[in-house]
Amino acid sequence: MVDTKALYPIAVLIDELKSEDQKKRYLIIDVMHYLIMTLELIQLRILARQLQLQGKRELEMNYFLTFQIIDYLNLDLMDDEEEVLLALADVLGNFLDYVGGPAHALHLVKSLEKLCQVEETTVRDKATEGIKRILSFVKIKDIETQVVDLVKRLMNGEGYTAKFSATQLIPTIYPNVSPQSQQDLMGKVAAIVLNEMIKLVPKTPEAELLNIFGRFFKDEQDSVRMQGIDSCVVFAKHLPVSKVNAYLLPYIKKFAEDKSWRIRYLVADRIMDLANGIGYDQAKEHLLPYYQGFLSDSESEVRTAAVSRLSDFCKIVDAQSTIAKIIPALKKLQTDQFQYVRSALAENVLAICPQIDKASTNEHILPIFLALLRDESSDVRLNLFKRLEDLNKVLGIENLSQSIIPALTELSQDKNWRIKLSVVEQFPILAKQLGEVFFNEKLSPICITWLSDNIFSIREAALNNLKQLTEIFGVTWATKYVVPQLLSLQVNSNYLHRLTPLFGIAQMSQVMPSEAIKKLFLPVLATLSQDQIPNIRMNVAKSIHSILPYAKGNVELEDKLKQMLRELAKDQDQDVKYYSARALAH
Amino acid sequence: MASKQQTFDINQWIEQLKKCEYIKESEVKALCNRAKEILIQESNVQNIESPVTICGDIHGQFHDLIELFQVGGECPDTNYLFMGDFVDRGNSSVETFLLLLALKVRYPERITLIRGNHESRQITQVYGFYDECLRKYGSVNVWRYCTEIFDYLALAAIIDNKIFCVHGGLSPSIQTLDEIRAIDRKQEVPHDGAMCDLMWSDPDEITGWSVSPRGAGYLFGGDIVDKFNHQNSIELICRAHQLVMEGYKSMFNDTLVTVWSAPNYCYRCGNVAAILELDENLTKFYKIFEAAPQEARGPTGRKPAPDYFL
Ligand SMILES: [Mn+2]
Repeated sequence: MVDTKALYPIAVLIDELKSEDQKKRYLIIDVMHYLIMTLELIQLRILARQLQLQGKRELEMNYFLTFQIIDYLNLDLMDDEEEVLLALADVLGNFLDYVGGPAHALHLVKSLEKLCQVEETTVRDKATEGIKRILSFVKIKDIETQVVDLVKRLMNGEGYTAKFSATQLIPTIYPNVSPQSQQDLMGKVAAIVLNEMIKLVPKTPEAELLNIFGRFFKDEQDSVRMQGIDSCVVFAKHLPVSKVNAYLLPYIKKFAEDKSWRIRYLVADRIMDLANGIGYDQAKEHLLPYYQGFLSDSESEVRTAAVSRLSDFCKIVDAQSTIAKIIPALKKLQTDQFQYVRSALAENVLAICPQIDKASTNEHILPIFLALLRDESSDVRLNLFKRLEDLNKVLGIENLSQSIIPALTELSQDKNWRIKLSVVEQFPILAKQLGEVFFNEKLSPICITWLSDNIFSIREAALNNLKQLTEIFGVTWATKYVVPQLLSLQVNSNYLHRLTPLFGIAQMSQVMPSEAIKKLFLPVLATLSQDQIPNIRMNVAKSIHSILPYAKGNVELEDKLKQMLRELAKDQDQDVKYYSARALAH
Repeated sequence: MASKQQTFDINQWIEQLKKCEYIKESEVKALCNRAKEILIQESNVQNIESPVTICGDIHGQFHDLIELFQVGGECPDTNYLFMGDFVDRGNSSVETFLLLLALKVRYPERITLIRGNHESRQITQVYGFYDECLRKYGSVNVWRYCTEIFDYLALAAIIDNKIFCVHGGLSPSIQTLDEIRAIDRKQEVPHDGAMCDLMWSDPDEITGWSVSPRGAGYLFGGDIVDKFNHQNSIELICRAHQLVMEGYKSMFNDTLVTVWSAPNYCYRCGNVAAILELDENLTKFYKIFEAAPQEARGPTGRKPAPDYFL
């Protein structure tokens, strides 16, 4: 007799697979390979038999053992939703061990073949991945006919989906089959797979590849032509420069003029890869006119992609060309109707400054900078500060402060707290770029204001800034310019703002010497440990907890802190008590 | 002690729930049992001392609750009062309610939860919480544990004896706070009567009482608020229950305020949310916030298979 208890999970499994609830079915498939691992062969056999006897499904019952489950899943779930199919593809691809090893590989491949033809790309990718994995465990030569037939079937299948999967499989199969089959496969190669094939040069004949490559560009579907740009990049890496220019340059030019914006977008996006491929001299001569065109392309995505490559592309072009050809296009972009185009411009435009001289920066870039500084979108304004250093290096801060301070001040008070937060996070970088004198004069007042912001996260980020700024400018600076303001919050009438010096003390103690902690922070902790609000007393305890490691060696400080904790541990409030006891036990 | 920590690791659960990971069914059961012990001791009109931050409906919008804490500060550093409607409508009622409940169990003095009209067996079966429990746990046990806890939640709260907080509003069957205190609250929200009205009523620019279009509770006017406030020495009624596009709305010469804390309600209303910070001098600060941006919502990806199966 078989232990029926051991069959219970299987019975549940089968029941659940019939569930109306898609989520539930998906979960079952997810746990299935764990189940299979834990089951004995005999149990699987019995399960199969049970399924058959119970007549729970209308499928053929010719397969044995686990195949029954696989087929069950396969056929019954074929129309299911993406998540379920994805899980199924994943399980099948990892199933080889549970079906008895390589001898049964083809059965799994056959199941996955169906999944190679579905609409959803993610499922197809997972399925082809699965087949590749399974094939890596078998001698492809032994099942060459079946495997090549599989590819042919997929290639001849209806629609694009099956063909796509076929092309994914070819690179795995190609090196492992006879010359006759190889020739068969080459005839079927499509754009996607070409890139993989090129990497096998010189194992694959380049003339043949170029021939196929040429065929792509006549393809009506832009999704196929899109692959061609990747191919150009890969080709350029693997072919000698002379051949690249002879064969590829005409194609690159054709892509750059493509009627589909997706193709132009890709060329703009990968312009540096292409430039690397054909060499910078060629790029300067042949790609610059196209790049210029992309910057004023009718499609905003193309403009954005081009602007995003600005700093790198200008490096391969001389200053004169940048001024004459590129900057006029940028001037137009500063009033682009799309915010994301202007955001990309703001983030990248300053990168040109070090590549042109001071006079040109003053004449051309500064006006763009100033215009964007007044942009209606805070996101655009914010992006300008990411590379402020590039402008600063050329023009010097004294020339900029008049314009940037009002803009920064306005951003620092933006009504969207997340914008404000990004500004806060910029400040340590700005501090490094602009130096101590300028910072003290113009920026530290803003930092201080943030300490009493009405949004908790801003106060928290402002405190984090203080610590970072102390690391940049030193303890003396902090003691003079920020610590007094931080500590003065201890008398605020709102408990949430009295918490700020406590959080601050915990942060600053990491970068301040223990004598400073004793002199500056201890009195504040003492005062606030008597506060009427338990939240404050509780945070005195928490604060001391984080200070204690930094007080090590300073006996007097350590003693006083611990004495304070012992008092707090007698508090009426259970949270104050808890945090004091925890700090003492430390 | 060691074994107790193993079965009841509240700090660990809070960490998990904050990441929007739900805890095990057995853990929910333990959490609810402990919550029951705490909530049963609370009055129908729970006394709270200022300072406290008052929040309105959350409705399962978990990531917006996290946004709320980023704006108002973390519990227990900031004290909170949530005025009900933790569940239904949003995608993550389970995580939302369990996080608030876990905070209540861990810091009972720092957070107060009162009942909303959605903290009900009947309503949650229609508006999402029931289905969500079933989907996430594969059984309705968690829904059972939670709805049982709903019966223990306080009906209202009063801050420094001056600010009366309730989910919906007033009831024609209630004149004094003591009458609320006398209700036997340990039951499903009834279809009518005082307890129902507290959770269902709305203020309106009318005089006296009127029929509510909601089919439960009443509409009440400024004169009713005046009378109630005067009779109970109250300065302000603070309630939730109604979507306010601006996050909060003051009525009747600042004697009543609606606070709404679910931004972009149902992920499509386009409203902002608010919380009301009261400092220890009862000075009011309204904090407005928007829905958490997509990147703060984390991967919406798969959750590990629940342990009920294996
Ligand atoms: Mn409500």
